[in-house]
Amino acid sequence: MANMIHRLAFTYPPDASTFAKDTDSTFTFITWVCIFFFVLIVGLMFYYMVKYRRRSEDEVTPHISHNLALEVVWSVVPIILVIYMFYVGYKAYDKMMDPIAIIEEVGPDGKYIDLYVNGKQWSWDITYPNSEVVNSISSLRAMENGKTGWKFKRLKERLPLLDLVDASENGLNDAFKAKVDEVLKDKSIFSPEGENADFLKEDLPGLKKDLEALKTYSGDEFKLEVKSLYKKYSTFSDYMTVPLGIPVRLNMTSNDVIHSFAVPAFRVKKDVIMNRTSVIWFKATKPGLYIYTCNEMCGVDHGHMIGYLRVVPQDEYYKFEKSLVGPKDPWEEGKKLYAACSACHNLDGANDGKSGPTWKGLWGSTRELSDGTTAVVDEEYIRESILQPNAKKAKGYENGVMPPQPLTSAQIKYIIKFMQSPNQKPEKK
Amino acid sequence: MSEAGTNYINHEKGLKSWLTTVDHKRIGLMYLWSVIIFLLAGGLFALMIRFQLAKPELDFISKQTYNQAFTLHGVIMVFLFIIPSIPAALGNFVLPIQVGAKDVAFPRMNLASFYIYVIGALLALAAIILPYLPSFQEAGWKPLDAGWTFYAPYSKHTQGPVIMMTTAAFILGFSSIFTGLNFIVTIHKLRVKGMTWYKMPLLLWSIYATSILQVLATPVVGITLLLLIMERTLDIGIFDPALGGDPVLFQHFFWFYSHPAVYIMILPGMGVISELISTFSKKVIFGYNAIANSSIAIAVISFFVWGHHMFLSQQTTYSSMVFSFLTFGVAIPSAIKIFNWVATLHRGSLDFKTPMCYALSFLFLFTIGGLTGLYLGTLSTDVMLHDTYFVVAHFHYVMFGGTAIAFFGGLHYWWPKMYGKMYNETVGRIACLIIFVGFNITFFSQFFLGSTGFPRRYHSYAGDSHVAETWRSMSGLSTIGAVILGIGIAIMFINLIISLKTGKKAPKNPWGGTTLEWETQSPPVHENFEGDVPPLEKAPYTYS
Repeated sequence: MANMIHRLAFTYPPDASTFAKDTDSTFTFITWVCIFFFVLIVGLMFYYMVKYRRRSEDEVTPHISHNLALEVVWSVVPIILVIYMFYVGYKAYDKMMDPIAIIEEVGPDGKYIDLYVNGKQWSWDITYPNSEVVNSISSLRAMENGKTGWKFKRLKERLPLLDLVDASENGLNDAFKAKVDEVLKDKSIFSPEGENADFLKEDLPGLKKDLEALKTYSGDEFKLEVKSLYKKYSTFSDYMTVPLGIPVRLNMTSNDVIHSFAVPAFRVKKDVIMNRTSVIWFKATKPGLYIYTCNEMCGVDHGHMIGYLRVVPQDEYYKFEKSLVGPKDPWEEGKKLYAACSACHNLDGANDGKSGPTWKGLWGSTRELSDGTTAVVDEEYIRESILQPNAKKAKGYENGVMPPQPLTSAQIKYIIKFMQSPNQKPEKK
Repeated sequence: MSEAGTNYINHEKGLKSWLTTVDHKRIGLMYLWSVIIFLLAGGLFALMIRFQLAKPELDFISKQTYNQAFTLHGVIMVFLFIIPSIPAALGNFVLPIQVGAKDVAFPRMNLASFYIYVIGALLALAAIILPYLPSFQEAGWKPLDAGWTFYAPYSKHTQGPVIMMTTAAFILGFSSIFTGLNFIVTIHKLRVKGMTWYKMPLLLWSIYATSILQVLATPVVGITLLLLIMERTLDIGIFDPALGGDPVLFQHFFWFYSHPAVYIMILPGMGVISELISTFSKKVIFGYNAIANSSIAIAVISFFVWGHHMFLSQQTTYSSMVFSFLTFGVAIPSAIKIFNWVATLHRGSLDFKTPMCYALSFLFLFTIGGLTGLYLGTLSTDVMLHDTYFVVAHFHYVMFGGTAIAFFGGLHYWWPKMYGKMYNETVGRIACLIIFVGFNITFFSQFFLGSTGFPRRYHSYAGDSHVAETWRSMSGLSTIGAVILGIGIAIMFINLIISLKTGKKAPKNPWGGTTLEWETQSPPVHENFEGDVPPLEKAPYTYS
């Protein structure tokens, strides 16, 4: 009995981030306070119900109008308790909501990761920093429907395709071919049994063909082809993937209506709003598969904005990031996007009467603003200037003629890449 | 002086006499039956929601229909049932008699309030029903699906009849303001001689506090909804970010009304409970002043806590801190009331008549509702629970376990006064028990859904994820509870309606109440009292 009560009253989602412990201990504290007062109030009520039930119609009751001492006690004790709750709640919240507080969790290697998250009706786009790839993650429901069903995807997790991507780094050599042959001969993959085996079988002739076709490519094209194949068949690109033990900051914005991004296992959640960047951060502490949800009513398929978030060891995370197929070159992508900007912004600093400031030497410089203050041109400044051009106006450009540019996080990153070196493509590291 | 055997019901006859009446008792009854109809309508939508979520991945109703069902459930329950339930229905009937007056201060304004309510309700009904008619569907009408909160910018873009529904809510707001204004003046000016402020029945205190909230807060939501209408029709760019507007501003405006509105909903219920507990304990209420003053304290503080609905809306950490602190400030007076009620039971002479059963249910349920609010006022745990079923469970414990249960209790308490008939006690108690059990099964299970992360307003859930076991069992349990709850409510109303035909004649004071409504006959005469009411000598709740 006690065990059952304990299990029910203290049911938490898995605790998979550094915040979980703190939030859960506050939760547990409040639960004990609740149990205490509930037992006190309802216990007394039931006790009085039995003890003071009416036994005859002419019973006389004492006239007790009040009792000051008692009233002071039952006012002051709750006040003290709630002040404590307020304090611990605020302290944890302050850390969660502060984008700078992430520094406290950064390890000696100095690593943290900025992911860019775009909410839209009804899925999330994640941009990973190193791959510059927009990865649209699927909802659990989309995964569960039909042939691309979720169970089917779980089966496919067994496919050792990530190993293939890894092996392809060295080009199409004998070792790689041997690996492909190994996969092709694997009975557990190509002759699956059990529930949902039919789903798998249906898709596998395609996989076989694609695997064999790999041998016809070479060089960079070959590497790209392996990644495409991975994306096509892997489950993982449908999950949001984050590393274990490295603080991750989500920079979130919305394309259409208000969403809210929540990961119950991390105890974090925040509304995602158009034209604003909302930031949450966390450090995952346990590898595994957790759900994320959208918690703000966002339309017909609001209930479909639920999916899986995967916490993986760091080396696997970096492998995953590399495996994503993205644009060949972010700088080139940025250059393409610049075409639209070129109507108002030049790159050579010439005084050609264009209505916007030049991009020459812009990146990293300190700008004088129209209100007399200054600002450093960094990622945040550019992001804001694109999404809300009139939030900070540069001196000399008070007219504010630039309309807001509804670009995705990824597109903004491409532009920044281009802006960092607008006249010359940076050399690859 | 009226003839023997006449009362306000048979004083005049015919439909016209009802439709043009300015008698507060008749207006109260018309309100009563209107809100009961809407309670049942809102309940049907609630059952649709629960059936859809009975099992994972059901297709009992489509996702579009589901979104409409929870929107209509919310709109109907909030605007058409809870807000008018106790003040406009029970309050209208009881309040003028309790102050010893012949009627409210402005009887015609009272009737106007009812007609405004009817117009608002009809418009709301039109907004609900029209989109389902084939000819309107051909014209491109879609049902409403924005949620009762109408958050921008979704409410701007959705194709449902948002304008019609917000206009309805706008009109209903005036009905609320009229009633509130009327009660404030009635309490100030029409109290019988000798009834000083601190000799008023506690129901009057709570309705007084409610009325102040209604008069001050309702205009804000009126303006907000008007701005939303202008946004949809004229693109004024106040809420829509695509036009440079701020969607979070809508939330500030909305909750600036809707948080005080939560107290508009619960305060009258607290007043009813004070009456019931004292009467059926046959004992003076413990801490009269504390209960009376805490009503006013709640009303005042409730204006400053709206931001606790927006801890995750990117409001600054600083403002969240202030709102969290003030939210705990409003918890204290509510706690004090509960302690006072329990202390009243101490050494009382408890008589478990049906109204008392509801009052004790209220104590049980409202305690849970209040305590679970602590999780949501605390910032870090709110991050975890915000917009999950935990919140749904919490406010149903307050709004249903609190207000609606108090409404049922009050209905049974004043029913003999209203109609002069006694209902069947045994059936009444059984219905109360079924409602109590059904309610707890329905909503306690939702706390566990919420703490494992089940979001609000999801039309279905996967049967195959790591939390699936909890979600499947608790969601299924909740649906079973909802059915039990529905059966209990049906028995309760059937019992009341049968009593109109076959009930025994009610005496003047069937419960041993000490307030003025028990001094007059049941049902009361046309102008409440035979002759003048003598000056009040004893304070209410004086039994010994």
